[in-house]
Amino acid sequence: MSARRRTSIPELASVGDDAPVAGQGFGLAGRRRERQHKRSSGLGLRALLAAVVFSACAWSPLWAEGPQGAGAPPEAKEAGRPRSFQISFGADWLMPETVGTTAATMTTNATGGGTTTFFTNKVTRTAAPAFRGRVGYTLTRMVTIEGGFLVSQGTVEDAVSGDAEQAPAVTIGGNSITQYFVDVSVLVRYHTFASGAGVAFLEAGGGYLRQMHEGNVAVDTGQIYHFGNGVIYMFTHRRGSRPTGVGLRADAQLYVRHKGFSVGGSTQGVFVAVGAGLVVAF
Amino acid sequence: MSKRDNRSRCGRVALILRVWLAGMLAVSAPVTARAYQEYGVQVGNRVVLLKWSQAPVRYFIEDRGVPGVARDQLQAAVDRAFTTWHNVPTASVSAQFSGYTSALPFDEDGMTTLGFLDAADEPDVLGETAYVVDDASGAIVEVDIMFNATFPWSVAASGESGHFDLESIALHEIGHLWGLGHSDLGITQVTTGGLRVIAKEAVMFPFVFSPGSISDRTLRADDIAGISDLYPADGFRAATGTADGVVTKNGKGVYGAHVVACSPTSGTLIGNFTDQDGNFSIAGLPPGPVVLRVEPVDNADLESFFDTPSQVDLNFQITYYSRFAVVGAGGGTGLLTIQVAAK
Repeated sequence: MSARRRTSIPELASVGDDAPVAGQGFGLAGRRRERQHKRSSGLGLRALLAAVVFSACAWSPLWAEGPQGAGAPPEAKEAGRPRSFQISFGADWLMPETVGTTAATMTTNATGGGTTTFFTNKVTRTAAPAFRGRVGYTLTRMVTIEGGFLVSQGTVEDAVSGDAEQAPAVTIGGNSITQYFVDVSVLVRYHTFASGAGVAFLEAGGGYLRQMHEGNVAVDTGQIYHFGNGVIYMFTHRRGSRPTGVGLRADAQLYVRHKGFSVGGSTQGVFVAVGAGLVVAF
Repeated sequence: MSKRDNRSRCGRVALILRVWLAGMLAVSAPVTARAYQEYGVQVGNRVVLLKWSQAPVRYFIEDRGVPGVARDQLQAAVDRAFTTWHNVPTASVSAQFSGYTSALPFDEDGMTTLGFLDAADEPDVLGETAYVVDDASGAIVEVDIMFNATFPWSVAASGESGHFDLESIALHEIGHLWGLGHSDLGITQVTTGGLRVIAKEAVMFPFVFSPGSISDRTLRADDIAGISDLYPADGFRAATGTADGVVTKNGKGVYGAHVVACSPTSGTLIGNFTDQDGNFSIAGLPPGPVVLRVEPVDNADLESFFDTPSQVDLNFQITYYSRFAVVGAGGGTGLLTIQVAAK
């Protein structure tokens, strides 16, 4: 029972500025955690909800252990020290996106018009690698504001079918499409684990989308929104010098595209991306 | 100044309606231009694109009607058709009604005249457009349009069963007046006694819908691309692009292949033909990826499209270009090669 109560993420209830930084005495940190634990009891439902959302449950045993386990180091503060910066960069893998379906139509010879399909296009952006970089500023132990960019080069293809004159269905394309995302996000930490060295977070943001078609001869622009869930695990820290921490970051994002390269009447697309990279905190 | 008389006709076969172009062979040949099929006039060693150099085009209406269509109703229907072309935002064309005349269409009088003629000797012809061209410069002197009075006509707002919609036919013929040729964006079916239109997506398709239809009062993307390419408004060329390429079979260019560009963003269709070397160029395309589909001209009267129809290659399979053609604003795709195989 007590172990379960420890999962109520006491770190998230920290008041922030006066929280101990990396390298401060264990005793102080321990006392503060004890106090925070009481204050955060109302967060249990929120933590439970977040935990359900969070898919990377490999760390769950560590959550149960909690940061106040014997000998827990203060590195937990590294991943969320207020008024600190984080730079992260890494690789993403963008899952395929159905851009849209449209029918090329003709007007039928019928009173009042009407249309018949000449052929149908189903356009897909194939899976694609991406490079992502982010700069974050931690406002409180829970909240970090991030600005970031992502560059990806994939291809687009079109499954053509339903030809009115019985031409066989065919998939065309393979043309490259380079995507640029520039966005601002809010990252909310909702749990610590691994004796405080890691945090799990939720993230949401939005920004500018620019898509360059093959040869950069045509450009589509729009907006991109994302909602994600991930973890940051800090390996090292140094006291009194910078950087104060180096770690790994992994996350999964749900992206919603608005406008940009669109097909048919649909101006929105949805796809998932997973990524991992390095984090430097200072 | 010597002049040439060229005619573009719209007709029907039995009960099946069609429009077709003929009588142009010696003096005016359809040319493959940047978009659509446009007309050219041979002047010396060069081909001059058939288009008006002055605006507005002043036209007269023949001073008589037919049963069901009074003189003023004829004028009003023609005016609406001219206005439809004028309202294309990416094109710059204008016309002005100059009055009624007792002169008949096809009188070589320097006046552009539209009106009814009894053309019982042309039972397939609904309408006909004739050009008078300056032989030295290739400039248009006058263009007359006749509507065959032997057919039942209507100007009813919502169409009239069994009657041909005058505004629709006028819209097509006025397309010829501006210099546009025929589009092949349509599907026809061979029936006893002629052809039947299944569907089409261009007012300038050479076969018309059944009597009573008013669907051809509305210009389609193909028509708009054609008129905009011929008389571009400011910014049109900068905002749109061109797909250029060559259609080959066994390493040789295919003459008369119909190439259709489809923007998957909008689903709009714009077409053109290949020339004798297999080259094509389709302008007025929205920037971005487009799908290219190549087909032989089907079921149609080849003379509606080509001045040397016997050389047109009909023996190849419908083929989609294996990639998107990526069109840039104000630019082209570069020369694309589309290989087709014999049937």
